[in-house]
Amino acid sequence: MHNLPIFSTKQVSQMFGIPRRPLTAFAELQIVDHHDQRPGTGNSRRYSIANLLQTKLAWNLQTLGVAPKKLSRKAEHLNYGIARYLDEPKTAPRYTSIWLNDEMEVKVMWHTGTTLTYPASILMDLKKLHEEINDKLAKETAIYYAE
Amino acid sequence: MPNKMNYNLPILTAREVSERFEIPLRALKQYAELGIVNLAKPRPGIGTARRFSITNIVQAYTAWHLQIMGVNQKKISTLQKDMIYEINQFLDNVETNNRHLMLWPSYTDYGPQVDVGRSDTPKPLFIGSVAINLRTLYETVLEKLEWSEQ
Repeated sequence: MHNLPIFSTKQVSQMFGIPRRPLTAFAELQIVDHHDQRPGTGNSRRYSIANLLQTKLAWNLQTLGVAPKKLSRKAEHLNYGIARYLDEPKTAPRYTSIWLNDEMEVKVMWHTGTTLTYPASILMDLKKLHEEINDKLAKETAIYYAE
Repeated sequence: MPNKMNYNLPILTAREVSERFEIPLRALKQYAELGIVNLAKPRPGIGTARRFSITNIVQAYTAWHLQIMGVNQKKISTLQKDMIYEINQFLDNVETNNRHLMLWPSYTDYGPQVDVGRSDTPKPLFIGSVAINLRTLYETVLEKLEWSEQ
């Protein structure tokens, strides 16, 4: 159900206050794993709940200064963590981190706890991310029915 | 442990820092020019090498870690003032001061911005935040400089 494509790019842009240009970049760099990456001229890309999490996370990281091109190299791992969390939110690892090992290689790891020992890392809380998306969707639904 | 006063003595040239810490010379030059590293003499004149103190090396090494993880130089330079402040505060007492430099996004009426702070544990308090263990970096710097414990 998390993978049903429901929202258009325009709706996502309005809901989260993310300009259209980064949304297009996220799709083209495959940071956001759309069901239909190239829907054809005149058709909007559609976003599932999983895509919303991927988008919000990418936007958050871009705000922190992480370039989308760099992020795209680790997108597959990050998206795997999100999919796993959405499938089993109670048992799957809640935290994801991008970290550097001693050889200064960038790695991705999933954790259930917050005791992290890396010298440098970007920490992501998938539960908080999911809650924020759910809150936003609940607000949008309330506005829709009020209208 | 080196005397705290020595932290600010300019000891290594940019080339030496580059060789010991495997940070490209070009990146070090940019850090100096963008103010990411707070050198005593950021523009020493033609033919004179820039000199880095231990504090400067920790600043540069932190920036390099951020860059490798994907944080762009432009963003680092906008945060340099706060980052330098936090690093210097940490170096005032490495044993007891909070060791994790944290960067996290916050959303204001003027748009998104990045806040800088320190915490004892690298808890991911936000959806996505950066944590740099300054204590580990500092110890690595000393190790690479071959300081002997006193």
